[in-house]
Amino acid sequence: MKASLSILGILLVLILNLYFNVSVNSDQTAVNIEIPKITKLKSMPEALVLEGKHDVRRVLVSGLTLGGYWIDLSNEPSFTTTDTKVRIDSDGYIHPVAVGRTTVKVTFRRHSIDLPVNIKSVDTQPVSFVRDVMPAISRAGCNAGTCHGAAKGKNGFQLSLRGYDAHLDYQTLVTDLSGRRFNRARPAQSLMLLKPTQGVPHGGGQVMEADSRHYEIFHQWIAEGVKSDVVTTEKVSRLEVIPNATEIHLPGMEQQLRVIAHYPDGTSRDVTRDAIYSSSLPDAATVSDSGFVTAVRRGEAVILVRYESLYSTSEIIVIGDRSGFKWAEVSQYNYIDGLVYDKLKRVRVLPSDLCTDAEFIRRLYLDLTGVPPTPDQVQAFLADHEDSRKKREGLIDYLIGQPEYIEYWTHKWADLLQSNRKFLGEKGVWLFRKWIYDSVAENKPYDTFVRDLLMASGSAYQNPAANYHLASTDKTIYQPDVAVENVTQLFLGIRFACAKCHDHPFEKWTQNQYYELGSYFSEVGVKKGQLPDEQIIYNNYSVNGGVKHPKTGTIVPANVPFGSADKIGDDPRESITNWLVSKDNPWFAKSMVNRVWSYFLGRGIVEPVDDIRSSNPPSNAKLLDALTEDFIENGFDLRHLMRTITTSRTYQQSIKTNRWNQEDEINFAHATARRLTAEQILDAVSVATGSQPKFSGVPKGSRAVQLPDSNLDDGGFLKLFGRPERESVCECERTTQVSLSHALNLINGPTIANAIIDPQGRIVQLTEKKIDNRTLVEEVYLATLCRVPSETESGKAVDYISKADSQVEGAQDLLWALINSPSFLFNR
Amino acid sequence: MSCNQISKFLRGSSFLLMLDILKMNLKLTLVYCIQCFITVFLTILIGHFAWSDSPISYYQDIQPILQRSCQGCHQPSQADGDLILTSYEDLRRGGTAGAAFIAGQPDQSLILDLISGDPPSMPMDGDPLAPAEIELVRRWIAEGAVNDTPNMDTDSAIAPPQYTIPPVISSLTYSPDGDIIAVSGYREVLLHKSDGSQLLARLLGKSDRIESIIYASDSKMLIIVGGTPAKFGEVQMWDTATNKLIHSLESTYDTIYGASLSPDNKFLAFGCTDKTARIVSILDKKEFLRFDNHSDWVLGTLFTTDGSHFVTGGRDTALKLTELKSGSFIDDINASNKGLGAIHTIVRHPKLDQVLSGGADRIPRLYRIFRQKRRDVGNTDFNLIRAFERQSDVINAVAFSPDGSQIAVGAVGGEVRIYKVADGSLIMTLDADSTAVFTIAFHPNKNQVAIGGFDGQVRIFNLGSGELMGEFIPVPLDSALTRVKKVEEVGTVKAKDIIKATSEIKLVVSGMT
Repeated sequence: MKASLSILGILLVLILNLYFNVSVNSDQTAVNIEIPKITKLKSMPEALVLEGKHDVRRVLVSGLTLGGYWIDLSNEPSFTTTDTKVRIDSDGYIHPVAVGRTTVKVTFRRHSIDLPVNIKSVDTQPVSFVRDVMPAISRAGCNAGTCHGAAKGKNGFQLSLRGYDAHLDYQTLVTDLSGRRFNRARPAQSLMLLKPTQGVPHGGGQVMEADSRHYEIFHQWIAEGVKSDVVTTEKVSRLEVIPNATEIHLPGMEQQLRVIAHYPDGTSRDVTRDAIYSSSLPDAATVSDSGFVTAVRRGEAVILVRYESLYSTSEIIVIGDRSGFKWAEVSQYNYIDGLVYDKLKRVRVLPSDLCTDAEFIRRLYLDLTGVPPTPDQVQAFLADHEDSRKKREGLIDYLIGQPEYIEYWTHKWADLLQSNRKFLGEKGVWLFRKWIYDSVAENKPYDTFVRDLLMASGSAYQNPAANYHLASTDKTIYQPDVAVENVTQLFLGIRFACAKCHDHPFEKWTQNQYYELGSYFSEVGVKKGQLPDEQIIYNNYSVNGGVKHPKTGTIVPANVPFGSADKIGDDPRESITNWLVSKDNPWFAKSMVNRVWSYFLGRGIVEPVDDIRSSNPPSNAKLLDALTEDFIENGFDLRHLMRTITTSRTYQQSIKTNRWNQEDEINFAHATARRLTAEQILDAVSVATGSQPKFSGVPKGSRAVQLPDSNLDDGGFLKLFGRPERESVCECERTTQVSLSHALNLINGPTIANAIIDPQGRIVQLTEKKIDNRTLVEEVYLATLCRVPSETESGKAVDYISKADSQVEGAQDLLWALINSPSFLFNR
Repeated sequence: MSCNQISKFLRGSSFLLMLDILKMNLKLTLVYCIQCFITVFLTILIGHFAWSDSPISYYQDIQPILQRSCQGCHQPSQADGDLILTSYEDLRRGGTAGAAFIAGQPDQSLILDLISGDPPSMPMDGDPLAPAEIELVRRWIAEGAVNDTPNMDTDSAIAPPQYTIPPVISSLTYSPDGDIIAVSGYREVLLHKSDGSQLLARLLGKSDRIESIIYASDSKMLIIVGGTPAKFGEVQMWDTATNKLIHSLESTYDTIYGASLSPDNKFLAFGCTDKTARIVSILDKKEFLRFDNHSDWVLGTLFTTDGSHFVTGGRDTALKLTELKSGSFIDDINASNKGLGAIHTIVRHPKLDQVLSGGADRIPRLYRIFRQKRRDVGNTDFNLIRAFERQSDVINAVAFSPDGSQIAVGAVGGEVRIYKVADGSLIMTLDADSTAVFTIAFHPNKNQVAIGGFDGQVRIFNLGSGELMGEFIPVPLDSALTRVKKVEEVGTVKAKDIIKATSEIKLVVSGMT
């Protein structure tokens, strides 16, 4: 009885299985998107050459749609072969079997194409530690930062982070604990095979299957004697991702990537299954661990592909459903606009209209001088009947170079150069500020400015530029490592700090390069001067040429991480400075251009602005290149750069979005609201209320941006609103978020309240003139939002004031309300 | 689904297999999940009727689940919740939360409570167990939670290993009379005539790795210490007269390291990966003492000249002195051990209470074991007699000459340096053909030293001339597979001619670094 029941049961399960198998297979296209009708197939590459038994490759297959665009079908077609010269596995990889030429037939629906394959050799090669074992270790994740790649390893077993040091890893696997981790006599009993497969308990869990390709690599390597080819075999030298940029039309559609590793000896490998993938924006496109990208929603994602120490990217644009989109010609004010529109056309976005003159004047004043225009300035600008574009250019030309402009950019530089009395002393911050002020006032070319800073020597009192070096000094000891991190992040936009302890995990920079750079700064010395707190920067020739590498303990000769530097002469700083500020340095001008762009558009073309790396590509590379070229051609002229940006139509766009650009955040299709900085708020409040802020230690009437450093304060307002302490070169040290404490402070705090009721302030002054409520309201709107109120606004405000206890109180309430409105708090 | 799979499926009645088959056919989709649930549900339903006569096996069904999904965190070296899941006994014992199961009562069993639920509390950071797996556990407990683990010890009645490549030499030593050299192999120690001219015996045991080989001073007993990594540690006691195993004693869940024998041959000390050092009484064949004052693996031990104290050192960089009788910690010998590297090996002066250490920071250091000065601020490293020069690479082996006048230091860079103890001067450098050196032994009465290491070859050097006197591969190689051309290739070693080869010794491995 039991037996028959059992058979019945099994049959039932089998039938159900079959049923569901069928239904699942047919449902699969329903879950994903239906593949549209295809008129033609193509494969990339169009022919394959295989050399050696382990040279296993895949091809990408795409189909031409009726809509005229190609879509990826790589994982869809069937691959058939007429002879036994190749074998095709379930993942569509083609394995060589016998030498000769053959053809693989690629079939999808009614279409098929022939893929010629030339098998040059089917020889087996010994397993290479460098080219086979190390990538397998990385792919299994053994050397990840959370596992054995951690600074102290895990459970007594330490690998170099993401495999940057093959020699060290070989030593660890082979000689550590007298060869505990492998077993040449019984390879399968090796700890390095038992652990990842959970053959013995492994805290990291099972990270490898016992019959996987990677298991076979480890096994064969051990059986062949755990040999090292670290010295003899060169690592991969170039990583090619195909496609490196593509558009996926609709969410749900897919794109298979193909990754080829190229070696210095001219050979290459298909490493698609061994590379490591991540998506910069999984909301827009996800990527599987076999390099299979799936579009999720409209947006732009960068797929970062890592193989060994190399990184490459594939930029994916998911277009989404844009039916009905039609590009409408928009005027171009200068080259910026053309390049911005090129990108917008690609992603099917229409730019916003121009902003109004009133919006423009407030935006421009805040961006160029840090302070909003006064009511008189606004009224004069609005009353000017000149052509709007010309009028705006005129204002730009007027503002650039004004004292307020100089103060504002002095302040900005003082932030970035860490002008802070903790490092410089009180006298130092004043002197350094003055030196920066003079440089901005004379519009010193950016390269000269940086050269003056880096090369500065002598007393920081007599030569204030030398104060720059004090931020890299800890208690009179100059720190070459801090200098390296500051210089690279500030002047190149590259974050080198990771490389202090290990090779950079997301970039090509190595630990060696970090110390090679450091050696240029090893001879900088700091000593005390005669005056109190005076510090002197000098070249300390007693230090012998370079810094020590922490791993080897030996002096590292100075070298630059890319390009080439002059031979070191008397002063090592001279060769590094020449290299740094050179026109040929691909990062120096570019990072500054990107930074300045972000100050005006609210976002860098590369964002964050001081984290330029291949895994963080620009949203518009051509625009960044063009701006850079222009900047260099014009002699690193920052005023020219600012003028070019602000005279573009792109800068002058409205914050109002349209149907096609409302979701765009990265392509500069509309203006972005930016919260005023701490100092801007305080200075804007001062303009609005007519009340001068009181800071101790500076002359009366000083603006907040004129404060020498963060030691001078005003009762915590500036700190609360994100003024940086100037202890870091990172732009991120300044914050401009909005939080409850900010709102409460603006509503209830003494700073705003006292300014509004200031007896010397705007309201008291105006009401004393006995003006009518309508004029009063207009004045208050002009002073805060830099525009005249609409009829409705005016009517409501007049009504409110006339019902108030007094005109003064009513007007003060209005002022308070407007200061607390987003239109005031944001640069729009 | 192939015929083979279906027939397996019909025979095996395993839920897991069924899931595997499903996975092969499908991608993970919503429908797949529904299918899983329905299938599992049906299978359970049918299982209740149809398959109740095929009991669940702990060894075949349950242990693999625990191994894959649970052992990472519940294992001897990381017993989270005080729970170990590597053996049936440990599972039954349970952890801090109580016994893992009550046989016959799945609903009262803690383990089921933890692995089921939505989401289940275990595995903590891993994927939840499949419903079918949970059902297996339930049925196994319902059926009485029987242990059917086969007795693995019978496995140690082993055939001699066959080798195609020499295994590393992790330990070698001379017999007290100097006639025999004992060398580690895989699961065995090989006894050769001390010039390598003849293989005398193969002492086969169950430990994959041999970490220490020690002759009792009266030559009656040979002690072999080692284990199988991440599984067990073992002390083997062999009768030297008959070459028979007298006793095998297991200790800890991992290989044990750096063993030493007390001068009276009564106590054996060794270091463990569970951060303890342990003392075993040779007479009782039992653990006598456990010392847990280290914070990382203990890799070296030694006894003082009078046997009253022992010294331990390891990865935590500390060198600690402990009294044997009481087990009391006495002193940190290298009190200023801040900044020092992990200690890999320690050895005692043959006549004096001095300890020589070597390790990751590449500097051999000689310390006085018993302090003569009061420790105070600014005077913390008073026991240090001499720090020798920094070696070219990490040190894995150190040894004293029989008279204590010289030391040998072996580094993984492939050389052994001999120093004069009196003034720390370098006497000579022995070239180990750039193979990592793991072990060094001075001959007890001839002026020569034997070294072994990564390439699995024993090399014997004359300490008068510094010449390589001979080299041999201690294990018999299955030569048909591997006999190749190599001897000529390595030709630079001048002593090649004087290999007193036995029939096995044909292969010279080269170029392995």
